[in-house]
Amino acid sequence: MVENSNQMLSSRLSSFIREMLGDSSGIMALAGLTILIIFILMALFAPIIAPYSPVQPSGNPLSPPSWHHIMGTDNMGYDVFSRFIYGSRMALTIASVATLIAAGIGIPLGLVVGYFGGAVDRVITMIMDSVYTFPGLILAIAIAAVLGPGIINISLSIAVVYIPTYYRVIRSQVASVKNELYVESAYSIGAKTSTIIFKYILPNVLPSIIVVLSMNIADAIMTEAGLSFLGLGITPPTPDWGYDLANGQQFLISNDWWMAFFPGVAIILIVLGFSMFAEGLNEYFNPNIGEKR
Amino acid sequence: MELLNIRNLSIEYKTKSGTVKAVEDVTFEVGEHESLGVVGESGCGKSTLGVAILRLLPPNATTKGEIIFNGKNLLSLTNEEMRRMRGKEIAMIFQDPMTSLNPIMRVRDHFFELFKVHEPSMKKEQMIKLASEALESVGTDPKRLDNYPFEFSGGMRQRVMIAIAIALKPKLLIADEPTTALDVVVQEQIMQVLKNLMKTKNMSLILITHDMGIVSELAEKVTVMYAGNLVEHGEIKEIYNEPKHPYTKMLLESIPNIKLDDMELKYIPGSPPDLKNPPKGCKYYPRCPYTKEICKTKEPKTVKLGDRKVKCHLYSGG
Repeated sequence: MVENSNQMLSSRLSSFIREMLGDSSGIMALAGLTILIIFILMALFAPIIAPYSPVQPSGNPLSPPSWHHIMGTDNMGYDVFSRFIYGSRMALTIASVATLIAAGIGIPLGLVVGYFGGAVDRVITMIMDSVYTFPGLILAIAIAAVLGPGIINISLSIAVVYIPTYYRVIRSQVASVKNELYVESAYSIGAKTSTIIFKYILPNVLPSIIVVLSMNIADAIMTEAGLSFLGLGITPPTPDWGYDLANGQQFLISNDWWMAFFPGVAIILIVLGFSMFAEGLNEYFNPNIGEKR
Repeated sequence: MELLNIRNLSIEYKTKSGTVKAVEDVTFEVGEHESLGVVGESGCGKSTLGVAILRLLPPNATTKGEIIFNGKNLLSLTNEEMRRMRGKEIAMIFQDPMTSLNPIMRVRDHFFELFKVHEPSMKKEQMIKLASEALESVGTDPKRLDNYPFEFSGGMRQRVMIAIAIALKPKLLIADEPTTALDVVVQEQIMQVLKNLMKTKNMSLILITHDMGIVSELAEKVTVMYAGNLVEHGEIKEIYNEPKHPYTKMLLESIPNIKLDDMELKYIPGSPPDLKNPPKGCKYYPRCPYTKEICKTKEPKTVKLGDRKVKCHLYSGG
């Protein structure tokens, strides 16, 4: 039985991959996914991969890339490659915690408000829209400045920025799905309102959320790096790309490029990975997006 | 005793551009094990009537009158009591089977949802057994319980909808245009399914449709509605053989008949009135060939002619 379901899973997976490779959007999603998997593995196995401790000097300060330090060392003598590896942990943790908080608040709120509508809908939508109009980074800076540093605080301040995205997507989808005939026929068999919301409406609006989710993680990584860059994020010497980028930037003038270059590449790559994955998924779920007229 | 008594039922929709009187002062009854056809043009209030019995009207609708089902006035039940009636005592099937099933739930789970609501203690084997029986009674293979709705054709989906509706043996089934979205061959199959169910299950049926042929096939009584009003009600044979109300007459004449020598299709000129601003007097007078002066000013009373009810000045002695 187990073997059977395993076989089914693997055959489904392989046919899925084959389908994904069949068109350009699928290839894009797979390429994005590959980048993401590499970063996730990097974060998971950081202690094994990283040659040195990221928070202890392991060589002469400001030594350029060499066989001992393939990405060089920074002004404190920390190994840049090790910090590059460990930095993925911070980026992924904060981005996913922030996204989970945002989704965890935005999705139920949009679901309930979209379903019941009325005056509550107007008030909450107004609040959400006013949050949405704020430039994300500035709002996050303001909240982070109030809350202070720390993983949870940073995640919270980033989460607030993205709640409206989920709220808006879910609310508008719910507004159309709640008028579907299958919702009415669920009523006609006596189903409870809570059953209808969570079993009939939520699963039918989720596909659009997956795309928003992966897009948001990319955004959240940028915002997190931005906060750290400005010194509002993680306290040094905890490895963090945003902080390293800010720190390395001072030394660009003396041609010590590697300190800023590698964290920057990391941020670009991971955001690219998430964006490609999200865009590919989006086209996969809505095949007519890229269609020519 | 009558299973369903509808007394002076009026339903209004409040909209931005005015109040729509969708159903006006409608009174009729459905006996046990009886089937009633409700016919009329689009927008005559027949669907509103059906949905009102289940109390599933949108919030901008106000309902007056009484809907007495099995001795209880449905309009005075609490929301919770009403919810327990739906699916168990009164079930409904809708016009468009293609969208009536949740696309991401297996057919099985649609049944389970119904059972969970009304029989929370039911065991899984029992649920599967009941669902299989229901599917069999509409002529569908019980193996298909594990399928998703997209694996069914329109006709099959409507069978599934009917199976779900009858699974808990409701006393009353409301079918709102159950065959309108289906092609003629499938229509006939669905009609056979409903016919068989009427024979084998102790169930009453309200069949809402604009198709006079379908009504004649299935219903014992018929209610003709026009612009929210009940214009004629009675035994189907009597009404089909000798329609009294001018609207019923013209409706029956406008059924296409291949045997007629005169190949021109008859129809009722004009269109139903705007229910926000209906004509004074009889709602039908602008299209009626028998219009008298009184029709334009005074609304006719419903008169009884034997077992039959007619709402027309021709018969009220006026």
